[in-house]
Amino acid sequence: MAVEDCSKLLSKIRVLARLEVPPEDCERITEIRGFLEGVRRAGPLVEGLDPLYHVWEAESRLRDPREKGYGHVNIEDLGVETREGYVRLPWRGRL
Amino acid sequence: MKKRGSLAQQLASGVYNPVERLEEALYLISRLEEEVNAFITLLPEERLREEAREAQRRILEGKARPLEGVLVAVKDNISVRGLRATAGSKMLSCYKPPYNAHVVERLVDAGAIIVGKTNMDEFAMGSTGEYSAYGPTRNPWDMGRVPGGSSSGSAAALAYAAVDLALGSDTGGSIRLPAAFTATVGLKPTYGAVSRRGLIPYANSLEQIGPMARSVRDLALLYSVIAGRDPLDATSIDYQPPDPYTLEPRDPEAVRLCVPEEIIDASEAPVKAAFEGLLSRLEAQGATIEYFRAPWTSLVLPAYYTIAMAEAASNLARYDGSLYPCHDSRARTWEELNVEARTRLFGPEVKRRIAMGVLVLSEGYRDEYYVKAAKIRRLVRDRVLGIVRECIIGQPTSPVLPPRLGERLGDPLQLYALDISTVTANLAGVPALQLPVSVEPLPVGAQLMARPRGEVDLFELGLLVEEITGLAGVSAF
Repeated sequence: MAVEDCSKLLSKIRVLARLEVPPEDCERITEIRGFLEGVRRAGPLVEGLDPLYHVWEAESRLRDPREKGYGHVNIEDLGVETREGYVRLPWRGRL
Repeated sequence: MKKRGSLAQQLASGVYNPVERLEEALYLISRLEEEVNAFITLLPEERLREEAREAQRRILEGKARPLEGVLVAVKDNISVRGLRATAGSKMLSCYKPPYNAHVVERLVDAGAIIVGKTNMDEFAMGSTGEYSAYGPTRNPWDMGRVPGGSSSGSAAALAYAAVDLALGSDTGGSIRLPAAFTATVGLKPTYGAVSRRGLIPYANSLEQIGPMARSVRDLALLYSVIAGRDPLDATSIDYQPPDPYTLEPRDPEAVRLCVPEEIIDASEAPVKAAFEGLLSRLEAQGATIEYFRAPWTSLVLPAYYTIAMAEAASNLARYDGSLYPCHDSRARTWEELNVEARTRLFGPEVKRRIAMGVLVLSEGYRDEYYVKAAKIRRLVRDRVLGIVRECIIGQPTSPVLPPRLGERLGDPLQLYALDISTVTANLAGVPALQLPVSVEPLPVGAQLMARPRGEVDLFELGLLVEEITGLAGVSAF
């Protein structure tokens, strides 16, 4: 990556991540970006797979609207719930 | 090297003496801690002695709880009420949690003595134990080498016998890698089997709190205390951990071990030799060893790091300089304070991971990086679940021997490469056990992966492996 490209990248990082990465880290950032690009090698191996999945998918209480999955508690008295609710995950329209 | 007896056996037979054990631990700490740097916070000796005397009294009165008087270390990203929890970062150098993590509540209820909070790579982002704002931890087996990370202090404290059990957290190998480098035992539990409430988060969909010990049975004992559903962690599952006292080594003829060729090929010669030595001995006793191809191996590291960095960027957005403040600032606006605090108080690796995390989630990059990584996770999970239904996966935990201090610091990609064997279990959500197979010339570990909730399979096979290696309970001092 050219120096001017990297300085654009660092400006973007400052805005999005609210931190300053020193210019001397450009090389490292570029290397890591190249490393992460490895996900593109997956090609046909991942065709048609659902990315919106969680490792606990099959067992999640988050996905069961019949069961209480979320509560508000007093931080000084964790055993006591002050309010009850449900987690809504709209991404598949299942709830 | 010293061979120590089984803690679980001592507890069961009533011969464990917390007062004597604490004095030995305090002696080892006074002799070695300055060099090893395993702890960020140590509790005052008088308080520990008082707790040990109280535990001894309960034992004598026949009122002992499952971990009565047992010395335990807790990684510094796990909340203990009133004790500083820095997560290895300057950002949290003043933070004292107002509550106990769920696992800590369970430790306290079981009678354990928390000796201190252990050193770690900042916010668990590291594989060697060198990225702590509180200085690197050294490997008690060879002080010129790293103990592995990010649970570096927990592993090192066990390896020099400052404690008998420890808690770590594992996002991509942070329990198993340090356990492999220090000849200790570590478990990355099934996702959801141990509550994460009270864990300072790094990558929620990947990380788990897990037990560390010097033998499989001692590890199973700690696991039986901390595992199980927590109604206040929405990702925890209904789960009953196995009874540590009824576990038996698995019959070798009932063992079917599947070994991925890609991981063996990626391992350096001494690691490969130690691991294949174990396979030969298992096979000689009647175990079935099968090799398989895992073509997704080259994808797991970029996929893991993409997801972990994305989640890290989101989790660490909360550290804006106004929460957990304890530093001077000349900032005039919140914006200035935010950038100043994050730039000054995060270490270089944390900054790099946040930077890459926001990039992979940003408009124009999300589909190219994050969505592809999420699909790879699905692929890995599907393939791994298919294999662990049939057999236990076995492979070296680390592809290399413990590196020398500083050897991998300059190149982040060299650092990430250490996780090639461990990240798969986090992507798939399955349990993975690391245990030592050799300590000469340096520790080498084996990793076993099983079906979700299959910890009992791992413990039984682990006990068999310990019978073969004779390395249960070893420590460097």
